[in-house]
Amino acid sequence: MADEFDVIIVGSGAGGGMMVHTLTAAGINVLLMEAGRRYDPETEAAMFQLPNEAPLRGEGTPDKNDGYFDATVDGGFEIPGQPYSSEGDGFKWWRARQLGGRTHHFGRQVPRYGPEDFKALTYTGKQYDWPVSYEDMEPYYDRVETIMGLYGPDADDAVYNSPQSPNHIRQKPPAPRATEMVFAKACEKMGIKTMAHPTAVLTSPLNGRQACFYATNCIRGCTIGAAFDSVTAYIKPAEETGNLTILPNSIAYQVLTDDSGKKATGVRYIDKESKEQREITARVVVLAPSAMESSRILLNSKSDKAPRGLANSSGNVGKYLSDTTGSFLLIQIPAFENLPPHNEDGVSQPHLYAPWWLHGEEKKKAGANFVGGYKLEVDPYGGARHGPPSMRATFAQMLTGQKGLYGKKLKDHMRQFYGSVMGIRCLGSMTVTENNYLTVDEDVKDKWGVPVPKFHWHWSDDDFRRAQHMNESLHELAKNMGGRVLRDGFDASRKARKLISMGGTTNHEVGGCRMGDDPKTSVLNKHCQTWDVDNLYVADGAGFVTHSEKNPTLTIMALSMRAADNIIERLKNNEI
Amino acid sequence: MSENQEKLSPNRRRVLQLMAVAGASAAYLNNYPNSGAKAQTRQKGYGQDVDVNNPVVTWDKTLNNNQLLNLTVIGDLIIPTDDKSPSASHLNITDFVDEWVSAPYPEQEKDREAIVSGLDRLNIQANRQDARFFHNLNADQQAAIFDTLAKSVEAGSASADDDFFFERLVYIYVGGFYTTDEGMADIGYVGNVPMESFDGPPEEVRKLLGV
Repeated sequence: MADEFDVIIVGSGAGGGMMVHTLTAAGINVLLMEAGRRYDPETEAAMFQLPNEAPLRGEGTPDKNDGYFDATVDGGFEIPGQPYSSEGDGFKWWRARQLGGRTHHFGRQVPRYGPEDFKALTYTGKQYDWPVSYEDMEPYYDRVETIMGLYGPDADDAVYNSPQSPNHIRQKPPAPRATEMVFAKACEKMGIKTMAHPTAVLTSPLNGRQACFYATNCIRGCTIGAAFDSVTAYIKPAEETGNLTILPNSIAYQVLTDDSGKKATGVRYIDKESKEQREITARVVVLAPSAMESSRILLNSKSDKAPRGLANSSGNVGKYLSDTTGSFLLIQIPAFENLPPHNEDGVSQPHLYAPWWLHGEEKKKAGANFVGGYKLEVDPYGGARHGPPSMRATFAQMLTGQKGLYGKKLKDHMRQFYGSVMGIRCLGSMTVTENNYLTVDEDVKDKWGVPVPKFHWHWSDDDFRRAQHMNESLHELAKNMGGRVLRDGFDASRKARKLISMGGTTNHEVGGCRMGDDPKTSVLNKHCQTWDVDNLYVADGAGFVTHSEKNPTLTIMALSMRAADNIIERLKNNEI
Repeated sequence: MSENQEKLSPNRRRVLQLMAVAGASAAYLNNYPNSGAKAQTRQKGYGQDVDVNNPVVTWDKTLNNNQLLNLTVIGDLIIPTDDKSPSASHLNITDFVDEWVSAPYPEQEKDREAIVSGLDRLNIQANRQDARFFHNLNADQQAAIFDTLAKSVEAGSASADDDFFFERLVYIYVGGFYTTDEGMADIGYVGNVPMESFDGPPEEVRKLLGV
């Protein structure tokens, strides 16, 4: 392959895809390296297939963790031959090996980070400030949302620290489901405001992509382009510019540098078909293979000049990891028994949510003594009448506590209970500490000969206090919805001597190359450029400094676009 | 529906064929050959990159005739015919149970062990009533044994093995049955259809819920 690329981008998911889109549109010649195969949801996704059309009624297996029809290719929490380990409270690492990465298997929830989320130290005296503020990021949120497409609430309904997309960008949300109307009423009783959840799904056509038809699960991928993914929204338009070369089935191993160790020259990678190690050069290297993988590549890029790994003069590579924290209650609401059949599929994500509602003095008064907060929503597909009923998500839940039930009584039970059993859940912040980090295990190599990561994961007392508060709120919500609790996820975790569900399982892991204003305590500057290597950028979730309760993907893309602007400017000025 | 139920279902036909086979070979069998929970040789899963538009079950079904005959009886005890939907055997759910317990994945392997050994225990109970297999008992005897099992599960007095056996059997039959078109119609699932817009629940539902 000719060595004439301006930029090599490693990874094609949310961060990499956004980088590809922005750079190629500016006339920059880009090589996109992807560890997995090419993948196109337009031709490959399964949409209307019902569980009974798949082996095991489509239930999850070690091969396909989120079910047979899930869009994930060669991925999940375990990939044969590509192990990892964890210690402490444990960590599970979701990966995907396909063009577009994890944006196909994606809940499409895209809330913006708020002003306090970027400047926690300034506002609350706790945690850390990012080197960027909401004002810095706001124009990038606008630009990303314009390309990505989303529906969301009326921006004027936004509550403190949960800013919403402006009305001229966001599209109109679908109406709430019956369950969500009851949820909203219960929240109102508790003094909590609800609104449409910002979601990267189109309700009107955009850039040749069609509007949602309010059926089928987004995690299967979307053949009509209504649900955002990196291939549909970013990579396909980028290919049309003629500035993009895609190198699939190529596993990035190390970033190469010149003798000074301060300039990246390219990437060493493994070609999966020949199993050979190869090198490719460019003027700029951008890592966006996923937060955890970015740290792994840097730690594996050791040299005489960088004995602790590349871009790691601060010793911070791999550190300050975080995920969101989740809590869950399974409830049954008698009012929903025996309702006339009605279609509650909708978009496969929550239509409504309650953004975090306690701040400052109110937070103190409520005894919410922890960093950050959490949002509330009704569990989407699987519960109630949401989406095609399935074994684990629907029927196992309806059988909870029904010991010895069979025969005519069982059939009556199924008719009566269908639609009345549902999950209510929280997604919360996590407190960033130095106890959560990854190292590279030199002694354990994957089947490609690359040392594998070891995750060190320890929930803090602060996380426990937040989880406890979440649990109390969920119980109060259940009561106000007229429901009784069938299963308490928090109790189950506690009985298993764990504070919360395992790290990584909400699929929002970030950090490891945190941004900052000080090269001594951070890996990246405010443009996601590494302090140590002038032409090396990290454009996935690795740069996160703290983790709010908001799903991180939109912020990953906004950071990536901002980094892309910086790269474009510096390339044009011949600075790199 | 009722007319439909009088016809000989494909599954019922298969059961009759299996019974003939079982009867013919019974003389050569000692106790319960091939019922061994761990006898299954490792089969191949479908892998991590499947063609989702052309699903294929990549493993063979492994239950033997007597196990299938026992399950067919039990399936119809768990999900009998009534005026709204047919029984489990009418929709070949036992065939799905065979697919499930034959799958080369840990959850299913555990279920296989539980179900195969649970069926053996039912056979032992049948032996006490001079029947070789549970399915050889008459319908009243079968119903009585199964009801005793269910009641002990309900009362919490069943052994851990029986408890798990019963729970998983019901789960797999329920899951298999209510994911069929007939099962979904029975409970009233009416989605999975494209719509121009999503406008929320009908007025009638809103009124009932007070929202």
